This record gives sequence, structure tokens and C-alpha cells, in this order.
Amino acid sequence: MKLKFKLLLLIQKEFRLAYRGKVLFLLFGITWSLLGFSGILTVWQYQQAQQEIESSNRLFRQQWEIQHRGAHAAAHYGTWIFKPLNVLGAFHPGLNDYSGTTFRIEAHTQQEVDHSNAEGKGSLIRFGQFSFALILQLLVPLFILFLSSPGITVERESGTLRMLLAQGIKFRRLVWGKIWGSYLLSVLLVLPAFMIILLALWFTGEEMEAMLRLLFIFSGYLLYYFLCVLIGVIISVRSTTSKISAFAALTFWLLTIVLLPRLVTNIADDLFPPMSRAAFDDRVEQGYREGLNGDGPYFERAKAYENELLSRYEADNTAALPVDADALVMQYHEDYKSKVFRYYYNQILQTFNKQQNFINSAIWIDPFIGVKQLSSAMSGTDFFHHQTFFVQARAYRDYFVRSLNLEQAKHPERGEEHHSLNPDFFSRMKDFQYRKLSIRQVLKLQQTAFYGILSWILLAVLILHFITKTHPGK
Amino acid sequence: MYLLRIIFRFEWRQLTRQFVPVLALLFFLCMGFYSLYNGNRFVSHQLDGLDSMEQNYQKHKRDLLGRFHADTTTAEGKKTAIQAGIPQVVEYRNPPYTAFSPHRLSAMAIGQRDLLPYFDIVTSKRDVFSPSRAAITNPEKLASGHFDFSFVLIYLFPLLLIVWSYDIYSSEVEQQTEKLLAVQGANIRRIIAFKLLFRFLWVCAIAWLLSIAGFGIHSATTRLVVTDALLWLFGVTLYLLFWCAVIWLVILGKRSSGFTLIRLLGIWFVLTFLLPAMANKIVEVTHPIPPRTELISIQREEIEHTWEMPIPQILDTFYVNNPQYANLKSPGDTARYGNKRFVAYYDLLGRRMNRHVKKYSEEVEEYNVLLRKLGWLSPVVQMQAFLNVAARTGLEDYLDYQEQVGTFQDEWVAHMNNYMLYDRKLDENDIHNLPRFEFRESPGRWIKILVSSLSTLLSVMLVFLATTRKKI
Repeated sequence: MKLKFKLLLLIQKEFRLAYRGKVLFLLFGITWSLLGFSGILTVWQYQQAQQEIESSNRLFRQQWEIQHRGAHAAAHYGTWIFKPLNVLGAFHPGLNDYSGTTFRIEAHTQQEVDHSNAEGKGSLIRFGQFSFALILQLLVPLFILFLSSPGITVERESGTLRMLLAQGIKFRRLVWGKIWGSYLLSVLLVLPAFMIILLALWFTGEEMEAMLRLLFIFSGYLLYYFLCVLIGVIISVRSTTSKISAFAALTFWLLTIVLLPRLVTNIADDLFPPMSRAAFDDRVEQGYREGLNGDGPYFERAKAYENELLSRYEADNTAALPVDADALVMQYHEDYKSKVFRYYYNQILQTFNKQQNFINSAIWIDPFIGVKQLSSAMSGTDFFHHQTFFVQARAYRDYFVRSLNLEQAKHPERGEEHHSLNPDFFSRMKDFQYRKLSIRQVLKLQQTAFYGILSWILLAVLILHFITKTHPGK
Repeated sequence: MYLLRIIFRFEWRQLTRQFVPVLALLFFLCMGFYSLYNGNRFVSHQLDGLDSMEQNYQKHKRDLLGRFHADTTTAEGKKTAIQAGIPQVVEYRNPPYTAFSPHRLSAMAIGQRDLLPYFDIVTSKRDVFSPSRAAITNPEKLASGHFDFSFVLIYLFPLLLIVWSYDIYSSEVEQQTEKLLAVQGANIRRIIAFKLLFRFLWVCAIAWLLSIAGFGIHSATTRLVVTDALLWLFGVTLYLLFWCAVIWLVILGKRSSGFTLIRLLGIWFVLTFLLPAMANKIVEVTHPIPPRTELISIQREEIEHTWEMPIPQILDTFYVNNPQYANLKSPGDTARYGNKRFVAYYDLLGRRMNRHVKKYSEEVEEYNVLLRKLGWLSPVVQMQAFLNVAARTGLEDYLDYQEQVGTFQDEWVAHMNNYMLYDRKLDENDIHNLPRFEFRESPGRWIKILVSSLSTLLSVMLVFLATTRKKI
């Protein structure tokens, strides 16, 4: 009880000292104002973007349903699907600005997710988005490090350290007092961020799952901020002057938050370079024309497929078939194109996965990468969510084109007689439904982030234990 | 001059005796060389891509030429020989490509090059939404940003200047040497200025050294003119001078070392992270880029409408818009899948879409103009844009290239029309002499680049002017 009381007293002292100093008000003022301003802009932008996506979806669906085309013409007409937005993603845009937002569906062509927000813009976008992610990942750790790193050095410089030790306070307890004091202030510093997101989730009527995701984001940040406090205090225990501690804190921030994440992704790209665009496009085209693994050129493949159809229906020529052979051959080519695209895209995906594994392993060196990955993964704006969208969009595209080709195949043309589609057919076509990765899947993918941050915390606590153990006033 | 020599000698001794500044200089030098390596790799990747484009083009050309000598004793050979020189086959088998080759300085400021396509395949078809041919890159890397020399210069070099110079005055006060100097009648302001000058020259020398090393990258494949090199060095110096002015102003605030450091770091954070990000977001929210949905929808309608036009009407429109082919007009041109119909269709579709694209591009340009105007508020943003323009990696350079691609497409279409409309085939010589794209730089662009540095120059002057009002 007495021990707990002393710790509480020390925390209280930290709060009082902080309250008396003007710096704390400045830090809180800046952070809360930025969070408020960013929150307003984010919600405003999210509403605009959401309305835009909803009206685009409505427009394309309407155009699709009211058409009077034949099945193949409709497949050429195609449609567009858009990457859905979510509130958490608006606050943590992650890769959204760079990964593309739209997917075009049309016959004969395999597309990729296109039209990223950044591609048509000037260099200003490369300075980053003014989002909660920027404040919580760049600014807040800097403030926390500057808040916690002078803790012991200031006491030492002002001579109060000796006084405290003389009063019987154990050095280790003083250090933990500093840690909890700084940490509670850090939690207070970022609390409005989570309140704002929570309110935004509530107002937009997001599901409970989104709240749970926010809880994981919050936990990730709180763990990371605790690590920042621990490192700040370790720096403060080891530094002889506040000048040195400020330098060390700045160096840690610069290395782990500004330099290493950029270095790591660049090294990953260096170690596992993806195929060039020119090579990929050419291989996909040639793969279709000449065939994969000795399948033969496209006209030979089509001929073989046609012969197979004839033998299946025991017919002499395609005109005698009860199905539209041209439509089936077209679908056969679609399937083959899809196969070729998948074959070469999987090679790129393997490279990207190697890059992601490398980046994930770097969490053991730089825990900041972990919190960055975790927050964007839980917000649905990370690499894996982007890939999931692309895979689902491609599957939908294949379903879309296949439905049209098979519909055409059911009604073979006899002479000048053309079959016109039942207007209901277009309305019956299912809409694209994006299924996000489940929390369980995200946690599995991001487990290194949690383990990495926790290991760093453990390491920091151990270091702190040993350096306080050897201190004269232990 | 004597004082300058003394101060510089003193500072040199200090530098050689202290471990931290030397380590910091070495660290930044290493970062600089790594950034050059990274930029070099990026440019090499694009050059390799363009090289493979050229190889594919030549290979496909050889295949086309081979069709003229196909073995006509076989059915397949006969078919191939018949197809030889058909304009549609030539375009399908070997479409021309346009290359937006990296400039010599591109390795030092990658800019938007990693996001934008560096080549295009040109055909007679006019499709505004043809798939992007941007390099295949993990979005994780795009979002993290490239580690090029411009990153080191824009973000890290100011930090080096700050951590090396923030206490040049306050430490004199804290060690009480300032009073000693004052007693001896020394001009402290001048001494401090010389100390800052020493650091500025060092950082400048490192930046120049790295820049000159960067000029040597890909010297065999990319060109560099003296004006470009001088503009680059001017930009680098001006940017460091801006930070030198800011540091000088804050130092003259005569606050403690800790407070000066915090103030300078605050300015650095605001100028390099906060202000650009806020400017970007404010413009995105208040003046959003118009959605492409409308343009997509219009294109789909135009395609349908143009295709469904009666053949005589679309041909008449074609001859009105292209009087050079008026002599081809014939009442018998009603073939649904005839060459003339296709040529007329793509011609009219292109004209119709160009109107809509122009309107859309004007709206996007308004957005970018606003962003550029806001950039004038921040010398950091302005200098990044300056370096990108100098390295031909900015958005404007890409738009310039795109305009030239459009002109080349017109040239290509006109060239192929001469075969399609007259139902002529290309011979071997024609295939050897197919139009090729060549990127031409707009003349006098260096003046435009120089003008873009004016805001930074103005900021430097204003900050230095503000320092004259401060006294030590």
C-alpha cells in the first residue's frame, strides 16, 4: 500500500510540475487543435468521397440496367467498380492514395486497379496527407519523447535528484514515477483522437466490428507510446545534460520514424524488384497469343476447343450446335486470358509478398513500422486489403463477362435472326460486394507488429531495470 | 578578413576535435550517397524497361517483315503472306511506343516519375481510359516515398544545419565567453555570423559534392546541359541559404540552447511536414478534383452514339473535318465493317472526346494551379517542385509529354489513314519508315525553372531583412 502511495505521489508530482510549466499547455494546445482541425477536414472529405462513390455506383448500375444491347455488346460496354471507403480508412488513409480506387470491367481486357489519388497531382501530395495518422505517428511520438527524455536529467541539473534520493525515494521508483507520469500525459494527449473517431463511427452508423478495429488501433498506439516513454526515460537516465537527452530523443525519432520506414521499403524494393511494366504487358500479351507452357498459339487452342465442342455435341459443324459456338470460344479465350494474367501477376504478387515479409521483419528493428502497419491494416487501407480488393474485383469481372458470354451461348443465331436479351437479365446481374479481411485475418497478418512492439517494451523494461540497478540511489 | 580566417581556423579545430559533428557529417554523407544509389537504381529500372520496349518493337518489326517472305507453299504461310502489310495487322502486331525517358537529373529527384507512366503504346483507337502504364510498384513503397537525393536535401540537410548551429550564440552565453568577447571589444554579431557561415559552407560543400557525383549517373544514356547543372546547384544553395537565414533569425532571438533547438525543430517540422500536408488537404476538400465518373460515362455514351450514326452521315462528317480526303467520297461506301467507316468513327470519336477531356483537364488544372499558388507560401514545397522541374520529374513535365503523345497519335493516325482509306498495304520499305516518337523539350524552360525559385529567393531576403532588426 505504502509503495503504491509513493508511486502515486511521484506521478502527482510529475503532473504538478507539468501543469506549472507552459510547455505542456503548448503541446496539448497544438495537438488537440491539429486533431480537431484534421478531424473536421477528414469528415468533410469522407462525406464528399462517399457521396461521389455512391452516385457513381448508382449511375453505372442505372446505365447497366436500362441498356438494350446484346450480351456481347454489353460485355464491351462493361462497367466500373469503386473501392469502398470506410471511416477508419479516412482517418488512416494508409496506401489508399497510391493503390488506385477504380476497376474497369470490359470484355477481352484484363485490367488493374487504376486511378490512384496521387497520380494526377503535383509533388505536394508526396509530403503526406494531413490526417490523424500524420499527427499520431509523427508528431505525438516526437512530443512524447521530448516530454519524457528530460525527466531525470532536469532533476539532476536542478539538484532536486539528490534531494529526492535524500528523502528516501528509491531511484527506480522515481524512474517509474516519471514513466507513469509521462505515459498518463501521453494518453491524455491522444485521447481526443480516439473520441473523434469513435464519434465519427457512431454518427456514420458503422458496425460494431469497426469499433473493435478501433480498439486494436488504440491498443497498438498506446503500446507504442508506452515504448516511446520508456525510451525517453532511458535516454534521460543515461544522459548527463538535457541537451544530450534532447539530441538522443531527436535521433531516435528521426531514425525510427522518418528514416528507417523509408529505408526499409526502398531496400525491400531493391532486394525484390518487381517485373517492369513493359515486360509484364508484353508477357501477358505474348502468353495469350503464343500460349503458356506449350499450349500452342491462340488460334490452335480455339480450333482444339471448337473440335472438342463438336465431339461433345456429336455435331459436324458449328452451325449444327445447339449453342452459340462463337460465344463459347470467346469465353474460352476470356478464361485463357484470365489464366495468363493470373500466371504473370502471381509472379509480381510473390515479389510484393517478399517485400511485405521483409518490411514485416523490420518491425523487430523498428517498432514504429509495426504500429504503422497495424493501424492501416485495421483501417482497411494496407497492402493486404488492396490485394484482397483486386482479387475480388477480378473474380467479379470474370463472373460478369462469363455470365454475358454464356447467356449469348444459350441463344445461337440462326441466319439473320438475332436474339435480344430479356431486360431483366441486366437487373439480375449481381452487384459487386467487397468483403474486407476479417479482424482475425488482420491480426494473423499483423501479429509481428504486436509481438515486435511487446518485445521492444520488454527489452526497454529490462534495460531500465539494469541501469537503475547500477545507479547509486537504487 | 582576418576575423573570418581566425573564426574559420577555430571552427575547423573544434570540428576535428569533436566526435559528434564529424559523425553527423559522415552519417549525412552516407545517406546522400545511398540516395544517389537509390536514384540510380530507379532510373536504371526505367531505362531497362525502355530498352526492352525497343527490343520488343524491333522483334515485332522483324516478324512483320518476315511475313513478306513467308513460305507460301503451306496454307499457314499463304495466310501469313496475305496478311503482310495490312495496316490493321501492322498496328496490331507492332504498334509504336512513346518514351518519356528519364533525364540525367531524374536520379536525384524522382518526383512523380514513380507514379506516372514512362511509356505509352500508340494506336488509332481513341480511348481516354486506356490502362495506365505506370511502373509496377508496391503501393507500400509509393506511400513511403523514395529515398532520393531531393529527400535528403529537403528533409535532412536542414536538420544537419540546425543541430550543428542552434547553439552557436547561446553556448557562448551559457559558457560566459560572450562577456569575455564583449570585454575585448569583439563584434559578437559578426563572430556568430562567421560561425554560421562556416557551417553553411560545409553543408553546402557536401550537397555540392553529392550533386556533382549525381551528375555523373547514367552519363552514357542520358544527357545533361550546363544550364541544368547550374540551375540544380543554384537551387541546392538557395534552399540551404533559406535554412541558414531561418537559423540566423532564431539564434538572434537570444534564447537558451534548449529553447532555440525546440523552436528550430518546430519550424522544420511545420515547414516540411505539417504545412504541405495541411495545404494539400485544404485544397482537396475545398476544391476537389472533379470525379472521373462523368467523363467515363460521357465516353461510353459518345462511343455508342458515334458507332450508331448512319454510315453515310459519319463519312460525310469525316470528309468535312478532313477535306484532304474529300476526293475519296463515294456513294458506295456503306460497308458496315469497312476501313472508311472505322477511320471516320475513330476520327469523330476522338474529336468529340477531346472536347470533354479538355474541359476535364481544365478543371484539374485549376486544382493544380491552386496547389502551386499555395506552394508559394512554403519555400520547402517550392524547392521540391523546383528540383522536380529541373530533373523533369514533375507533373508539368509529364503533361508536356502527354501533349506530345497526343500530337504523335494524330501523326500516326494520319499516316495509317493513307493506307486504310486508299485500301493500300504497307511494303517492306514502309514498315522500315514507320513514324517514331521523339520527345522534344520546350525551349527556354530554364527561365520557367528559375522563376519558380523566386518565392524561395524572396523568403531568404525577407528573413535576412528581419534579422537586421534584431540585435545582439
